[in-house]
Amino acid sequence: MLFNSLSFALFLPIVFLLYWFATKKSLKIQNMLLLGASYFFYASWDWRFLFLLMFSTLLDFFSGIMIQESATSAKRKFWLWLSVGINLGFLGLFKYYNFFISSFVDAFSLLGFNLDSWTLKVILPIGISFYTFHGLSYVFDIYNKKIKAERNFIEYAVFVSFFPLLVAGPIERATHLLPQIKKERIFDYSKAVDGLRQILWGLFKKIVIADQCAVYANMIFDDAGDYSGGILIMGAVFFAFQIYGDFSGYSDIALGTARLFGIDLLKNFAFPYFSRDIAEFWRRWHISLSSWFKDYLYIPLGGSRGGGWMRIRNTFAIFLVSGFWHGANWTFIIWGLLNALYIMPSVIFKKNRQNLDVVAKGKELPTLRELFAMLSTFALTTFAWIFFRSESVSSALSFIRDIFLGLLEKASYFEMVEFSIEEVGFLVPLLLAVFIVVEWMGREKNYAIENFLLKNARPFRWSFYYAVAMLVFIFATTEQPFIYFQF
Amino acid sequence: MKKFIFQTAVFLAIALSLFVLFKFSSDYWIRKNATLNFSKKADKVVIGHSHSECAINDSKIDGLVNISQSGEAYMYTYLKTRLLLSRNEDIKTVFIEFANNQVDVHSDRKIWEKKYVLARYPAFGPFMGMKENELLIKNNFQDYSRGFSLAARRNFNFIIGGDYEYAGKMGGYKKLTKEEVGEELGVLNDEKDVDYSKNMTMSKEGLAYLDKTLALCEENDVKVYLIRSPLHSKYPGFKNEEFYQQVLKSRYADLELLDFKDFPLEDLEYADLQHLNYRGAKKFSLFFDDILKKGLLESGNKQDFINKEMARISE
Repeated sequence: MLFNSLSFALFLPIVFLLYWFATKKSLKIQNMLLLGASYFFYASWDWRFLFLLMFSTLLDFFSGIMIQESATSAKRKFWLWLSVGINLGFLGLFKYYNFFISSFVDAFSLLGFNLDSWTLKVILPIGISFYTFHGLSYVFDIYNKKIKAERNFIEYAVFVSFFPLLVAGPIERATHLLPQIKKERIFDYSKAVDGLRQILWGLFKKIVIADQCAVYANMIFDDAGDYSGGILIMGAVFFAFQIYGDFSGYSDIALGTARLFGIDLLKNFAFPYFSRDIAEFWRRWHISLSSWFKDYLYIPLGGSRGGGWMRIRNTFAIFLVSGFWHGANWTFIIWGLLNALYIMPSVIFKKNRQNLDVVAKGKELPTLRELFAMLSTFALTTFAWIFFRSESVSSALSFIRDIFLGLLEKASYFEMVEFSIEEVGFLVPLLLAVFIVVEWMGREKNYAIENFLLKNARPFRWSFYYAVAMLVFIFATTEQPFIYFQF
Repeated sequence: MKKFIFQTAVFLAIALSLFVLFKFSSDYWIRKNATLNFSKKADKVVIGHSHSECAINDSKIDGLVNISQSGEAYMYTYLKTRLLLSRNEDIKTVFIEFANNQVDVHSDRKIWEKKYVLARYPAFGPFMGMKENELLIKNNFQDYSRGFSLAARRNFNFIIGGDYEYAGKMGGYKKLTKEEVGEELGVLNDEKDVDYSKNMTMSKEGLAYLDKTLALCEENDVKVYLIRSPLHSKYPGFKNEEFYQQVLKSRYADLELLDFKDFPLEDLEYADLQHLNYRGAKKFSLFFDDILKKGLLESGNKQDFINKEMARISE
């Protein structure tokens, strides 16, 4: 059941009405309803993996209690590592088994040994990377005595499985979400309206921006060999907007949906393409994952306390693991490495805490220097996306080689113009331009249209909402899955 | 809470109404402006599904245009014919494919099954009436709604681009290069889910639209011939041949069927058991052109004429 599907359009209002009307505002019944709805939502993909989700939930629930109850440090460690081991074991089996086996076989074949490959036809359970990280953060926090173990299984299970965040995040923390699940929730009109507005903008990002950019990104990446350098650059730029629209659109819908139920989720995106350097980009892109790695990997490894070399090592570690988290492919690892290299100068020279505020705060336009910085950062991230999008490292490398070769040819520029006119047309670039302008205008808010036109007359504002809704309807032709579901 | 629900419902209702209004007004605009200018002068047209689509290479036949399309159910043939006759006064003869897989009730699914709705509704939506919309909604609302969005999007693109020419959007000769008869022999094709052991039921919706197409042609003084394109002798669809003949005799006795099912072809001239590849299409199209020029349509017993000509070339 995708957020952009008809079935979700039916599911959501039913759960919403039951939640606020049929539960008599009883917290216990509301949570049971949320859990039932979340399991139904998850089972609509593949009911068999529901048992895996339940097992993982039970494991972390009991591990949390055992960590807290254990009298000795050794026992606490035992329960922590049991939970971590089993959780990562499942993740490794479902997500990385074939990757390790084939990489192992390839490595031996380079040495002249031919081994039989024992790859399995493993189906990746949807959302496993996300709910595994939910559970892990919970047991880590108990181990570090940041929170107390939850005793109410239903409430804990809602924390892990709450349907808006179950399959693609944001990756929540027990410290943030569990207290909200335990607290009585009262319907808040302005919060619910805000939630709907965010859902509308999320649908626009996904259906109008991401899915339309995907048409050209797929066209170019799938037959990269047929295109010249200029067009390949266009493909990479289309993919940059596709992945942003897709993932941040998903996050907006998740956050908006949660708000309808009186729950605030962690912010996942903060206009990352308006970043002035890579460090800022990573504070604004997939924030819940970046902060997860910071809290549970970077800081435990020593963070930035141990001097220059430790900072460099730890930075490489989190970017490598982050790349690997995205998928069992060398392309993701290289994507992570590239980003680590990008950020390294600012880490070495301790400049990674610059640009903490939003760009051109309180101003309408950026300065030329800011504009240049934003464009440079966008160019670097787009270059890294080539690895993220490519099927293999070799295809990414040939893509990049063809870009540079093409840039030296005059004909490549003519082909780019021809492709723009004949294939792309003006509609998608126009929509992209409108999208960038609206995002820019709303960059100081939680999402672009949070306060958009609120100061203007109501008919004007509502015309804008209707225009967005109409575009969503017109472009909602097929239910394209979200990219991050594969992770 | 009630205010929120009320406002949300009103917003959605207005947004949906605007969308539906846009769709139907853009349908009207396209219907009003649609043109149909074939690249060559023609007074004859072939309409049908993939059999005629792959068998008739209209570049080899004078005065004939092939606008067949894979998987086309008769409802879409009707809509196509209506558009054709309203926009092109030159057309005097229509050949309509009438094959074994178009007579039983299973063929009706090709009107509303997902892949057909998603492909056809956006193209034919502007020309559909209430009855056609109702039929799709009744049988497959979910894909109809998807098709509705697709159609709105397509209309949007056509209007923005000022593209109202339908000649290239209604089908045409499809060149197949494969030769898979050898591989297909012994393997069931897409009629596998039809149980020939049971009594077959006649198509309801499909043949009703064929009837409407025939009536429409009659109203417009356009002569109609049913046509069966060449098929491999092992084509599994022949299993319902008895039923097919029964439908033909009981329902279309006053129409003439130009039956080319036994047209002599080698295995290498078929793409598969029911479609000709480009070699077969060339051979058949040249033959069809030849017999048209020799006066097939003016002859008394047309099937005799065809059989004699087929016998002549197979000698």
